[in-house]
Amino acid sequence: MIDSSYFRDIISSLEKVLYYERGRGAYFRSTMVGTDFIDRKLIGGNTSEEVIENCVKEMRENNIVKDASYKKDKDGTLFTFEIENCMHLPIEAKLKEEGVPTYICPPINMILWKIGEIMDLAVEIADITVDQELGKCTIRVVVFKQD
Amino acid sequence: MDDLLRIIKTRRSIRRYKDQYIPDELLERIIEAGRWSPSGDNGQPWRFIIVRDPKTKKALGKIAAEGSGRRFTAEYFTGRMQERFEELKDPVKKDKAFKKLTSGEVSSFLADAPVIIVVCAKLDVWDVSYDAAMATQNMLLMAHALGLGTCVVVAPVSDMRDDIKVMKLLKIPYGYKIFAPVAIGYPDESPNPRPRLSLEAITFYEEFDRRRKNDR
Repeated sequence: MIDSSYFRDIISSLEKVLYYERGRGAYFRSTMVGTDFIDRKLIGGNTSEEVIENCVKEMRENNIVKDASYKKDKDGTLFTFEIENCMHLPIEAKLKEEGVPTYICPPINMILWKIGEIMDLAVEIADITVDQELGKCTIRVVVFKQD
Repeated sequence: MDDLLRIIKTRRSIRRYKDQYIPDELLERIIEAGRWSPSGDNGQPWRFIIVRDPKTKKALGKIAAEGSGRRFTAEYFTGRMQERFEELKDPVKKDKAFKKLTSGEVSSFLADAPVIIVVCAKLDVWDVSYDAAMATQNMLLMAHALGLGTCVVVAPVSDMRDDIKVMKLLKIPYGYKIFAPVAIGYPDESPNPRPRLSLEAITFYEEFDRRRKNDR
């Protein structure tokens, strides 16, 4: 069994390379990172809430995240997610040491990908905040009907 | 020499075009300017797709609008857009600007350009981004010198989710990538120049951030 730090180093190196090539635009090149995993699962739902719930269940069962919760603003467009103990946290810690901001969130990519696909809604990450001490990330996203 | 600098300095990003046909000869001159760009190992990775078909242009405009609309809606709902427009005091103008951005209208004009040249490049070279960018700039300058207006619209290809749609639409094969659709037409607007950083602010001597004494 290969030490997981090997994969952590490989992924963080690749993320760093992409960031130095594209700067902030690296985010836009990474919006599908993680979606292959969720595409292999049978995710359904009649509302965005159900899709989120089903995605989080898969991620929990596969130890990608310990848990994920969210709240919506009164307009119903801005969702604020809190993700606990995500398996990507150590990668982000390494990147932070090297001055690379967090620009990829695979768990949220998975959720948004499925909301877009199943509910035909427009989705976008607004920002990602990582708290390494608490082992928690806060991600704000917009979900809306595009004309 | 002054003529070249004048062409460089008077070029603008044009987003409104006259309904006027652009002859093939002019498009060939523009592509000829791209063809003579420098490239690593003389790899010449660029390929140019001239799009006139209204259906294809409409599809590109729609994808562009969706990409911009998503991005700017995220900025709006987090308040970042309001911060960016803090100095614009007129509430009507501000509201108009927000609507233009969040609806994606800021990029949908791509559909209305008489011609779109899509700059693509093969990836099996060492310096593909630089090569494609240099070719694009040569083309923008040539178009301007010919009296045409241009605007590089990356909105339909910057996000992977959109990029794959455009790759399919234009039948781009594996091993190639789209860099930028360039909208081209006779200008129907004459925007003022955007502010530029001063030479002193962007020029260092011998190492980063070292300036001449008098520039401080």
